[in-house]
Amino acid sequence: MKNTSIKSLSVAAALMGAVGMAAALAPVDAVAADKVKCYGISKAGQNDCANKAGTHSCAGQSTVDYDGGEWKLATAAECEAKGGQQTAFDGVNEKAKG
Amino acid sequence: MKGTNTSLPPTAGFGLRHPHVLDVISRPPAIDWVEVHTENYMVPGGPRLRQLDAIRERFDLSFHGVGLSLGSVDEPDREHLTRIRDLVRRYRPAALSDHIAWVRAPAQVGGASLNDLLPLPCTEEAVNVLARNIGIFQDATGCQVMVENPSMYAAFAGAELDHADFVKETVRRAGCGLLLDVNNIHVSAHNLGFDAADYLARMPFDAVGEIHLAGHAERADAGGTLLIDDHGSQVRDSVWTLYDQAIAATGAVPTLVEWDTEIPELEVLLAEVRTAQSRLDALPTGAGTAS
Amino acid sequence: MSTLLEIQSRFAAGVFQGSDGILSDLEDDGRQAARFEVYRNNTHASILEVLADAFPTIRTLLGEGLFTRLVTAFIRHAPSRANHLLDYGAELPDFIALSEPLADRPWLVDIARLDWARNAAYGAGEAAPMGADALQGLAADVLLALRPALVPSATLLHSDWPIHAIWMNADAMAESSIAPRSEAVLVARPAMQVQTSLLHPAEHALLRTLQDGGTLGEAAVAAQQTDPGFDLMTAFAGHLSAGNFTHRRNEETEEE
Repeated sequence: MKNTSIKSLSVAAALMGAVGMAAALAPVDAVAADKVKCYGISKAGQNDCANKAGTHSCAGQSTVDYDGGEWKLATAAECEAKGGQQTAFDGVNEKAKG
Repeated sequence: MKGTNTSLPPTAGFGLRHPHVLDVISRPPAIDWVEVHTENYMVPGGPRLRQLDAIRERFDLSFHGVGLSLGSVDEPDREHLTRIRDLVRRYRPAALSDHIAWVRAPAQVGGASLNDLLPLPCTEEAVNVLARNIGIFQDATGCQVMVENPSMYAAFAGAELDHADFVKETVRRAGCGLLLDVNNIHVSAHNLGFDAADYLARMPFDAVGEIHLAGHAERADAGGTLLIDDHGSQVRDSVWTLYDQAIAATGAVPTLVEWDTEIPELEVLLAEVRTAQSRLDALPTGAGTAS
Repeated sequence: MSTLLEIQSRFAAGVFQGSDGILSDLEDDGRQAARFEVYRNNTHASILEVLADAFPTIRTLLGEGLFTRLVTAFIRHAPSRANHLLDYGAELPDFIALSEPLADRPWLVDIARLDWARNAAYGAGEAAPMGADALQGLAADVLLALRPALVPSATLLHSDWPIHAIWMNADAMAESSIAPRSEAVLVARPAMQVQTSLLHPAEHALLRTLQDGGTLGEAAVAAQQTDPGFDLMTAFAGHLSAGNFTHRRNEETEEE
């Protein structure tokens, strides 16, 4: 809670400076600004406001294009034995940091 | 307008799909209502919901679900119902519907979603399951809902009712409305070998709160053709003919054009909507009042 | 006559496992096997499309054929339990991690996490941003003791692989082998647009500490320990004005 090191004094100055810096930028209603961008322009797919992943339809598919081939899975234990690189994602390799 | 299951205006609208959303917000076409798939808005926040807010300011909405799996042996998923209820509260749609179909495997074998509107056997058991589940749907949302007649590619052995009676009996026992999809009638009749006009004539017209129109595809099949309900082209002449027969019986009913695959420019879709509207406009006054 | 439970169980087994028990439930017109294939195809093709939209980088890196095989296997092993697919695919990164055909491309796992973070950010919940004006004039000790949270749409990723570079240049990297180099990324949708930002290691330490419930003071120290020359002021000002922070809902260090 109480942190009185020299370091914290210097970071306090930096953080207060940052607050001032951010506040100096004209206040923007980000949602309103994005609405203009998202509703106003272009075709779907050309901006990040449009994402159709997961959307449903009630129509049938007229093309046959899947492949039922084999797919071999390793067990999690095998994966780790190989060095665990496959799971070197966020939150697992915390030890590697700092 | 028939029944109490919809307060949609009795005009033609279209199924609003992702590629057209921004166009429709920035240049609203001269129609009264659009329909969306309820499941596409089951998110906590973000652009999808904001966009639907903007759509709602301008148009009446119909919420058409594809995921309740009303024909499943299990009862509808409570969480799914809660999400529908929350969306109904936020957007106050003029109509709420789902399908005479099942989507999800029985809980007993894992409950996986098959993400498709699957066919039911025409049995008493299936009618009872549908009536029970539609009742749960209506109780959970406080709305009288509509269910859509199915498009089918295969039929089950051991039918106890024919296809038209199966739909009629379901609607009667559930006390719900019927979303009459005339393209589905055409597709199923062709694929399963029954008479489309006869099926249509036996529908409970008083319960019809909305009509769907769409295109379908033809594919070669052993000894003939199979029709795929892909909603990927213009409405066929044969389906327009069925539509004329339907509205002659129902009177002017809210009519929706669906286009889900190979989605064209908005203008192409609006031309289909205008065709449907002109057929509604051509109805003699008093059409459908006799039943 | 089979019961509905039997019919639906056999139908699902036919779609997912390819078993043919369901065929004897269908009307025997000599075409029932071909007709059942239509349903089988509808399930696979529609879910494939959903996952292709959710994992565009993975699809580019794998190419159409291998991506389709991956998804077909995934659908079989981890089908959706919900009847809406907006959340479907969260388990694909873990599935890739266990997939032997992809074991020689270990960066794919973190790329899949990046694709998924972007997909999830799009529909994530909204929270009022912590604005700079609300912090202005606070005494230094009050400011240092604040515990800002990242907005609900935010995902912090840290990888042994250059995930931001791969994501930016997936087209050019599909065929190449990639050398390990650590990169950190913040995915967030502070307003309506999903932002994907490469983070300086010290900036990652700052945000990570805040995400873990630390104070602004602790986060700033962590950043400076990672890199004493790091421009803390500009970085914090940037995240603040981007709207990446929100107020923590209560005093508990509650994680999203």
